[in-house]
Amino acid sequence: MNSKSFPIRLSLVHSLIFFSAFFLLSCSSASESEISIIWENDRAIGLIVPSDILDSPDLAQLSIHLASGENNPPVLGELREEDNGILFSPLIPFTRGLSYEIRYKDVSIGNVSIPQLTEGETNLSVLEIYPTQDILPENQLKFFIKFSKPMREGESTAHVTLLNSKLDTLKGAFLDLQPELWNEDQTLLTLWLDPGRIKRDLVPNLEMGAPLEMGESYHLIISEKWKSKSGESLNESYTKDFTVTARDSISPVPTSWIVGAPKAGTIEAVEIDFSEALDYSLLREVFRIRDLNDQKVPGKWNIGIEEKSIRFTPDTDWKKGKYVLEIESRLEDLAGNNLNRLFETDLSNPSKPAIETDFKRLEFEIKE
Amino acid sequence: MKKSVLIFGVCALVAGITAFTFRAEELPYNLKRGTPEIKSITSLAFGPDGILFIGDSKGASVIAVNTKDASNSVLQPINSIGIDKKLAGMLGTTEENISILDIAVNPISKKVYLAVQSGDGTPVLLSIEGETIAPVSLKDVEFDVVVLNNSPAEDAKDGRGRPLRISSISDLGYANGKLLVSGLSNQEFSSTFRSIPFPFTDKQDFASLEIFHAAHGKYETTSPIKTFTTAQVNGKEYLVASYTCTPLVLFPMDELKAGTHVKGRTIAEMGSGNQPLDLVNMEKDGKSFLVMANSNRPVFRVDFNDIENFEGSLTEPVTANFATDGVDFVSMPMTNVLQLDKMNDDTMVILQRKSNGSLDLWSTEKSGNLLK
Repeated sequence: MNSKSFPIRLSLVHSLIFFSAFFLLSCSSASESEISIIWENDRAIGLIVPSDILDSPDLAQLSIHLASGENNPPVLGELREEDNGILFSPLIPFTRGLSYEIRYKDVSIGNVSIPQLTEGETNLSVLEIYPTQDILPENQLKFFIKFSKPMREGESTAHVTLLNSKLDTLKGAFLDLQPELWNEDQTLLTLWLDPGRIKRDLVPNLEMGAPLEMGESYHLIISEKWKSKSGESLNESYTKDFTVTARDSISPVPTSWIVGAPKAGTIEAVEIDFSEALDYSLLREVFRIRDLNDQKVPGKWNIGIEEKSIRFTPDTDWKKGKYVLEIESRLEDLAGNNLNRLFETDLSNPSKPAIETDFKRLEFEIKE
Repeated sequence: MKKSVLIFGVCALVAGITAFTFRAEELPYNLKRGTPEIKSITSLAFGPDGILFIGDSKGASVIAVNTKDASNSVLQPINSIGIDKKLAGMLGTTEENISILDIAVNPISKKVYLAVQSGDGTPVLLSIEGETIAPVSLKDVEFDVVVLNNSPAEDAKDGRGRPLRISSISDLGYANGKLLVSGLSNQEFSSTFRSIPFPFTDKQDFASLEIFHAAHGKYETTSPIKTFTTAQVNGKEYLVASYTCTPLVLFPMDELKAGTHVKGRTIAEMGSGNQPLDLVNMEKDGKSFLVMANSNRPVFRVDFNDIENFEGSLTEPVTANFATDGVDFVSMPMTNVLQLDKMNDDTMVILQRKSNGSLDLWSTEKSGNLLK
């Protein structure tokens, strides 16, 4: 095969590869005839083959292959003639660290390497593991892991481990859910402890017991090998240590919450103290404050320490009078008990909870 | 008078011709032509006439696309060894950078459709027929979209940034003119089961499905559905759902109505550390079977007759170990099956991680003994 390589123009600056590319660039006078990479948010989404490499070519004869061997099939994508050359857009972005060969009529006309992210560009980290408190109930249901950047999906089982106090790995503690539960920008992962083991009398529960035992302490470890969407690793592992206390079999009761109301004429926060930690992701969404005319009061919500309280700061001054705190009943505690029902209802215990409603309301008063 | 009638007649004729000539192209099932916005392809299911339903968990919607792949064709056996490596090569990457999220067989053409996702989350739809793998373009197609409404409280959201709530689609199905969608959320631990008429209208029926625990019927819980199928048991339509905490639960379809709260009956548990992955109905020699792929067990098969024989206690929780009561769950000689779907009544297509590490896609045709 007649192989001729062309220098690469890089739209971003990348360490070692940059230097080799720079060397090639500096040796080449034909700066127009470079195959260039099109970048979008750190992803290589296309290649431009300039028109002076291929003048009025037959697009059907142009193909892009992985450069690792001769028998690689053409990469699936779209070819389109643009003003400055031919644009190839692959179905998925080119992979960092791999090289690609551009062939015309089965003859190589150039190679392009997609540079790795360099260390200076990576600042991937675990921002928080929820719940943040270090004492959790025996029937704890969920963990939330918050990352600084969008992460790769489908890898949580390989990268999250639960160890007991003897540092033995507890297998099968988490529910292996595919697809995993990520938020839209893939920075927040929800992990469930296996509900089949938490729920009493199910076969998994009888065979293996609950994933967590009262009085034991545990370490939740997040591996440093976990990669972001753009391919960088965490570089350090993260640990959450916690101790397990008794089972929580009581739904949160809003009427037992303590509401600290500020004075009229101020924009100080009203603080609602739950006296127990509640579910992080639901806390962010289920509260609203309404005035006597049932109008929503605009303002900001902030979750308190260890998710045990929440504060609301209005945009404008409080007025004297009564307000209503409206809570969506889907709010759960750490064990998945919501305002309407328990995570599991014991049918042999006839004490039925109150009527199920979409909302619960709690009145408070702003005084002079 | 006569003149005005004539003028009216001419006008009507012209209007009629104009309307007929310039009438917009009418597409089947009220589809429109264009390029749908698809954020992810997390589940696939076929509807009528080559309509493919694409579950987009990230976009919280289902897109119906006319694949135009609706001519009857002869089933071509598939035996694609190392399909992940093959697909990775075609996508210009290595196999650790792609995952196959779902497979679905077009019941008319028998072509297998694959939902593939790259490491950075880019969705790709591919089809495979025999040895031929081809991309399926989702640009300029006939399509319609249904956005999955969230819980009743959802529209009461205020503007504190994007909601953290995600409604992931755990499975899709189509039966009797309805698209069935089971969903799970990262917040509430419960199952929303939607029944959406197709062609899409503004209507969506929700039912919340609660289950009895198998043992003693002592506890009643909610839990998300992982996968489901519909089946006829004794001439009645049932939803056979498999949950994240317990494998098989049966619901009568006619009880799943808008806003209802239905209690299902657990018909089987397979023990700990296992997740149900896929369910299909198969037929062999006039017998119907339910076939179930598992994360940590071999593929199971159960005879629908055995489920029918259990009809007597449908509204009651099962009180004893189902297996000992005569339902025969047969382990099939297949482990590490990640995905399966039905090609025709006695042939399945299977995505399997072989013991040598190879990820293979193959059709069961040549192993006719599987359903014996």
